[in-house]
Amino acid sequence: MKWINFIFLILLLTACGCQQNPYQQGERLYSLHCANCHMADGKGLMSLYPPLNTPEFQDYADQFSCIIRQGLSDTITVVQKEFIFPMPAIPELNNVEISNIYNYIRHTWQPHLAPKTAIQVQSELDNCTK
Amino acid sequence: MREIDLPAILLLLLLFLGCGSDNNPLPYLGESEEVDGKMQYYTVPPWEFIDQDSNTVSSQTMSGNAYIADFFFTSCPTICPKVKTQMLRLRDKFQDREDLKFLSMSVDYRKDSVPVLKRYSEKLDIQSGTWHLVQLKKEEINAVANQFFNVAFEDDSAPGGFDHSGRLILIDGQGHIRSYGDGTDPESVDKLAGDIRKLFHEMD
Ligand code: HEC
Repeated sequence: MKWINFIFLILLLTACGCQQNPYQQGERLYSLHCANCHMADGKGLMSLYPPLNTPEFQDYADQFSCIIRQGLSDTITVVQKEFIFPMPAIPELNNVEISNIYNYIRHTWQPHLAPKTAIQVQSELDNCTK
Repeated sequence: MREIDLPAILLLLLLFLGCGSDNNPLPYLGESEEVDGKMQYYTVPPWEFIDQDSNTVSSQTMSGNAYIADFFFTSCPTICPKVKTQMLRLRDKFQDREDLKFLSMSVDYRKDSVPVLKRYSEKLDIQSGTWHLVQLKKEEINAVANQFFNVAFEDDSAPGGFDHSGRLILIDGQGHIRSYGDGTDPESVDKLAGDIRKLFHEMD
């Protein structure tokens, strides 16, 4: 009967494994570089820092890499709130790290969006408007 | 039956009282000395700033009110948002206490002018008269931070250009420092909230 227990254990382990966030580096980098402002749950802070867990995120998905590399100082509207304080650039993040952060956010709050590769990040950066 | 119940109940009551209320009085922090049989406690030296509404706020206008002081700057990419979240939590918790004020001192002497602080306060629903946001001058940052038992200094290698702690300092109505908490740690702020309640007991 022991092998049944064994199989059960394996099943349990793999089940846990599947649920785990596959973007470990992205999660770590998010909590280090983004969570201070956008908060660990992606909800942002009142009208000071916008949320990243709402559908509006999609409007900024194509600029994502440029926003991180160059910062953002616009007036933007997210969930009917106006945000005017600038987001500082985070130049120390490389392309792979940016794609990992994007994929973590996407996986956690925007599952309908497609993941991004480091190559896509580079082509976005080549086309930043600034 | 009665003889057994009474001591048991008493014991339980004692236990509850013992755990429930921590009766130690709130200490006075900093150096104190006895002068002519009276204790003289450390007092934050007199200060005066202009707040986000261009009103003068000073140790004198604060007198009689307890207040929480912290150091920050509006473009701070690191701990400030966390600290502000905790201050907002304290503000909400003690909303009914008009004698609890907040003083947030910006160390960004270049950018955090009155209009910037005003916009920042609006974005966080910060009420005028209760929560004062002020900008420190370059030459006063170190001294003021020291006077509030804190550290803050300009550091080009720190994210955003300034280094400062996330400490929240509790000052009583006479300008004595009575407690502090780590504004980046919700549990530490819970303890500070307990100390604020103790201070209210003293004041009421
Ligand atoms: C210092 C605070 C701060 C930090 C740190 C920060 N942001 Fe932002 N972020 C902002 C602010 C403020 C805005 C709005 C800027 C504006 O209005 O121009 C913003 C806007 C955005 C936007 C576009 C708006 C939206 O809601 O989608 C994205 C995407 C974004 N940030 C992602 C990130 C990511 C990813 C990180 C970490 C790598 C990060 N931010 C770190 C403050 C911050």
